[in-house]
Parts: sequence; structure tokens; C-alpha cells
Amino acid sequence: MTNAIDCRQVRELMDSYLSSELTVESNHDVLRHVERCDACRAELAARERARALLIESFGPAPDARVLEARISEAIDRAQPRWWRLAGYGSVAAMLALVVGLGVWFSRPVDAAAFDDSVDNHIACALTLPPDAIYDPRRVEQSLAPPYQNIVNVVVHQSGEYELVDAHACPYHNRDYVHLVYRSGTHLVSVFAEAAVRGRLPLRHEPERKGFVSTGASTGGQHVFVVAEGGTKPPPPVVDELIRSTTGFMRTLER
Amino acid sequence: MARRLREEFNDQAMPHVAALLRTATRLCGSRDQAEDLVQETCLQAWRSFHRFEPGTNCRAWMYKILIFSHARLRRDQSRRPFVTDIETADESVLLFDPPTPDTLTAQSMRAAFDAIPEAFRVAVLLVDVEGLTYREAADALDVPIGTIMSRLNRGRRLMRIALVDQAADYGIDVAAADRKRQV
Repeated sequence: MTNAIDCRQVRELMDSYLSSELTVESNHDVLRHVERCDACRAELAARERARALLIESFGPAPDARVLEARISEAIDRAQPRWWRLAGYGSVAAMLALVVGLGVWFSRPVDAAAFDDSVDNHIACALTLPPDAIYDPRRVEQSLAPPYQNIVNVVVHQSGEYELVDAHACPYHNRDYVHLVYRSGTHLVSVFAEAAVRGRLPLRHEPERKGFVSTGASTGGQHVFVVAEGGTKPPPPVVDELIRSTTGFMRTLER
Repeated sequence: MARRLREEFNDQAMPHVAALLRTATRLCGSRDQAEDLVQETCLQAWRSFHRFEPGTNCRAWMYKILIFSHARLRRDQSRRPFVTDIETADESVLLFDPPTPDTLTAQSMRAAFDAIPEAFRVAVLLVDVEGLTYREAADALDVPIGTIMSRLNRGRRLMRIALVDQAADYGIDVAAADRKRQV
């Protein structure tokens, strides 16, 4: 046998052989040697037996079922606090959502909200003199509580549209505050009112008498932007007018 | 997400509890302490399980936590380092590698095992008893694989020496018996 390993080398490798940690080549070397060598074959058998007896000396694997159950309980108790809170939080948020939706849908619907805003635009804004300009003194005298400060909060210009008037505007038993914006000959009204008649309807006619009303609700307040259908201001202007007005209306809810 | 992680933990980590308990019993010397140690190991594993890479060796990872927890427990109890001067065990003794006696019992094996230094004992326990690979044992003990091989070599040899001493106490000449095998 070429490159044969001797008994000393085999005994060095024997334990790793039993642990299946030798390379294929070394494995073969050990096997070839013990085939020929009675002493090493006996030693290998003795070490194998010794290892089996050592394992036997520890007894059978302990029954860990009780411990496993104990560990599972301990893990349940050890859930990270944020995790538990997140779990509780999810349930709480879901309950709040269900309750909130229930309350919201159980409120009465202000079915005429959009129509009245259009009608008031026709009745009020369209009668404004074409050369009217923003007059702070007139505006101050025309606004009633709680809307006196609205002109200090809302935008005075959005795109091509400029604020030309603001006044308290009772209409059909509604207490609107009415902002009028103008770009050339085009007028846009922004109405805001307390949502005392109920929530906004989910659907409404997109156009009434040639005018379009876009509504938004802060919960306690409604805001409408009314413009002529054909010359409606671009969406960013409508959005900005709604945003700045609802921003003021929210201050009334605090 | 939490439920899925828990299911993965139950599938991958919990099946090793029985083997961990057996090892822990040997490390601690008492079943009660071993159960506490395994519970602490599993809790630690659970807290870190989001960092465990699926597909890697969960058994070696669990053993690593077990050994680490045990070392910390010992440090807390005795203020003594876990590993002493085992790497410099008496070299003159280790030059002698006697043959394994024929007359062995589980009791004599246990006595030989208990007689060797603890770090060698842990290496032998993990590999020869629990069946971890050298690589897994090295990972569990957080040492290079060469260190594991060295500890195993010394531990096994010291056990054989202890067995020969036991045999001599019974009037058995192991070296002569080995020579007889070669005839």
C-alpha cells in the first residue's frame, strides 16, 4: 500500500473517523489500515463502544414536554411590550373605527347642502359689482362671530383668483361665512358653515344650474367651493381654497 | 407577523429543547438548574429570533446561547471565569495515549468523563454525546474549529488515561492487553 499510514497516525485519526469528520481520503486510509491491523481494529471497536457507553451513561433523553410547555408560557409572557401594545392598539383602533363609522353613518344627511351653496352663489356672489375690490373695513363690519378672523387666516390669492369680499351670509336658515374670489370676470365662492344639519351626502348632482360645488367636511364644519361649470378654476386652486378655509374652521373646533 | 415568527420558532428552535436539557443537566449537575438554564436559553433565543437567519444551523445557534447563558450564570454565581488554564493542561501527561481498555462500563466512562477539565468535558459532551459537528461545537463555544479539535483530542486522551488508571486499580494491564491484541 503506497502512502500507507501507520498505527500511531491511525489512532490520531480514529476519533475524528467516529465523528465522521475526516476527508474521504483520510477515511479510506483509516479503513484500509484497520482491515489489515488487528490491534487498531480492536482499538477502533473499543473506542466506538466507549463512546456508546458514555452516551448510555447520561441515560435516555429526558422527557422535556413539561419544560416545553413551561417555555411556551414564558415566551407568551415575554412578548415585547410594544408588541402587546401594538396588538391592543390594533384592536382599539379597529373598535374606534367601527364606532366612528357607526356614529358617522347614523348622523342625519344634509341633503340640500350642495344645492344651497350653488343657489347662494347665484343669489349673492353674482350680484357683486364687477369693480368691487377688497375693502378691509367693509369686510370687518360684514363678518360676525365666530368668523371675524377668517380673513387673517385664509389665502387672499390663489392662482389667478384674488379675494375680493368676505361677509356673513345667512341663507335658507344657514349661517354661512362667504368668501368671494375673482379672476377677471370669473367668480368663485367659498362658503363655510357649522354642520348643524348633518353630514354631507355621499353623492350629489355634479352640476346645478351650470355651477359646480365642491364640498369638504371637517366633521363639525362644511366648506364648499362653487364656480361656474365651464370656467371652473384648476384643481390646485380649488384644493388650496378648501385647505385654507378648513384650516380656519378647524380652529373653531378646538 | 408575530404569529408567523412564533410558528417558525416552534418549528426550528423548540425541537432542540430535549437535547439542550440533557446537555444542560450535565453542565449544571441538577435537573432543576438545567431546566431554568434551558428556559432562559429559549427566552433569549426568542428575543433574538428576528435576527436568526433562516437556513442556518438553528441547533448550533441554540447551543451557543445555552453555553453563553451557562457561562454567564457561572460568572454571576462564582465570579470565576468559565475557561481556566485548560489549554495548558499537563503536556507530559498528554504525550501518553494509552489504548482503550476492553473492560468498560457506562459507570467507568462517566467517572472518566467527570475527571477531565471542564472545557474539555464540554467539547466532548457536545461532539461525542450530543453529536454536534466540530464546526457546530466551535460555533456554540465561540472558538476556532482548531481549538475544538485540540480540546477534543486532549479530552478524549485524558479520558483514556483515566480509564487505564481505573483498570490498573482493578489489576488490569492495559498496555499488555494492547500488545496481546497485536499478536
